[in-house]
Amino acid sequence: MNKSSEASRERVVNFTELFERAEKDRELVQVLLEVFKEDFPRYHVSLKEAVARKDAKQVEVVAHTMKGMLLNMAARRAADLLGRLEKAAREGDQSSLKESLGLFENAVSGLLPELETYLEEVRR
Amino acid sequence: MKILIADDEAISRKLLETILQRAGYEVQAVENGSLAADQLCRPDGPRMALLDWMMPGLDGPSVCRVVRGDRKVNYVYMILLTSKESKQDIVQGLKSGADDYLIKPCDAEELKARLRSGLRILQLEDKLVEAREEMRFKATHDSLTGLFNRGVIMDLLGRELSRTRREQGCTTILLGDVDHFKAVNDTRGHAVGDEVLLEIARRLLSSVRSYDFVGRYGGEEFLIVLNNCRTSPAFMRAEEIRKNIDTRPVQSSRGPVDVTMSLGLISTSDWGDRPLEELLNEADTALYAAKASGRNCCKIAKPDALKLISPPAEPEPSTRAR
Repeated sequence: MNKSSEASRERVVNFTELFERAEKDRELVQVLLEVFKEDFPRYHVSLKEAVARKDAKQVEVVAHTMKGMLLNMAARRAADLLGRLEKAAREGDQSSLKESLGLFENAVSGLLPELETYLEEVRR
Repeated sequence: MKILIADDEAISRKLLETILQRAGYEVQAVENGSLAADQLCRPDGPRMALLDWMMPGLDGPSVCRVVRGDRKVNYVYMILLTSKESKQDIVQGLKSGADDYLIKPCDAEELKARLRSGLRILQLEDKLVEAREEMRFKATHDSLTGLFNRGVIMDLLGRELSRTRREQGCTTILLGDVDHFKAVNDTRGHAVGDEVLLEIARRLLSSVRSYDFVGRYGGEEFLIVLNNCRTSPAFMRAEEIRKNIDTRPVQSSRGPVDVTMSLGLISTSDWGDRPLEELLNEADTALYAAKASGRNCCKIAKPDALKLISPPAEPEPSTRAR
């Protein structure tokens, strides 16, 4: 494995995969990143609130939507963690919701700065 | 080809929209299942759809069920998009009426290939519908004139008489016969005879209202059903038809051909609740009387005096024999 792919694996988003998914269209990638930057924090807040309320149904719905979003953005690990949270909510496993959310938040802690850097690259 | 994308998640919508527009589709994107079902159930709605499984309002499988249940016109090819991967989910999705499914995130090339398969199915469906419509037309219409054939015009007349009885309305039947048509065939040839019949069919259609029925009853005989029309206006209509044929020769490939038509008229307002066969017999008798009166005229079948008269108020039609 070369250095660039190692770097790509360490990131939350696999930008090579995202670029391929957007059929190598830089303009489209830029639009997707901007939409993500705007929508992700909103969904994140909604998820945190649902977990705090122990509203399993809402956790399942929001986690599912965010999982789809992250899969589209080629953020597979973060999507997998949300998949776990979604499953726990579906199965009514209230005790693990907070822990699963914590794992997810930890995984995406560097996401937004990472996206900013990549947006700069794409805009150039 | 119009395609509908239904997904509550903006990134997925934008990505799919761009990929499909680039592939030549006319894309319509909505953000929930209810909007998707509304669009797909419209007669001119998209015939292909990519539906996210989980959406607010109706979910993807529910949209499929609504569309399969309500759609009366064309088939809609629907693909479910899902991050659910279990066999049970997939079976459930296909049972709801979806044609195919794709696991998110979709690969652009795979998506386009699956849509091409869908297009082939829709094209096949279009050809089958077209063939069915053509067969239906042939089974119900006269091949030369394009008018209703005898079976259909009789059926329509039967229904109209039933409705008339039920609603205590009035139906008038006109039986028209081209005068001396055998002479046209004998002197000008059958091809010209066919041209004459075709032109007469056109003139008959242009002389009646959109809700009246015109059919080819026999060789050169035509049956016209005037819905909700009493004797006096029906007689005026019959005279218009007669004049419409008499005043202009038919322009055939072998020159102009003068033709006239004799008509027998019978109205349920005069005859009441009689069987269809009896009414047709009486119309035929009236037609015979028109022929006997020198042709190119219209006679009304009247039951009371058991004789055939023309209304005195109407001007006498030309009785020039051909």
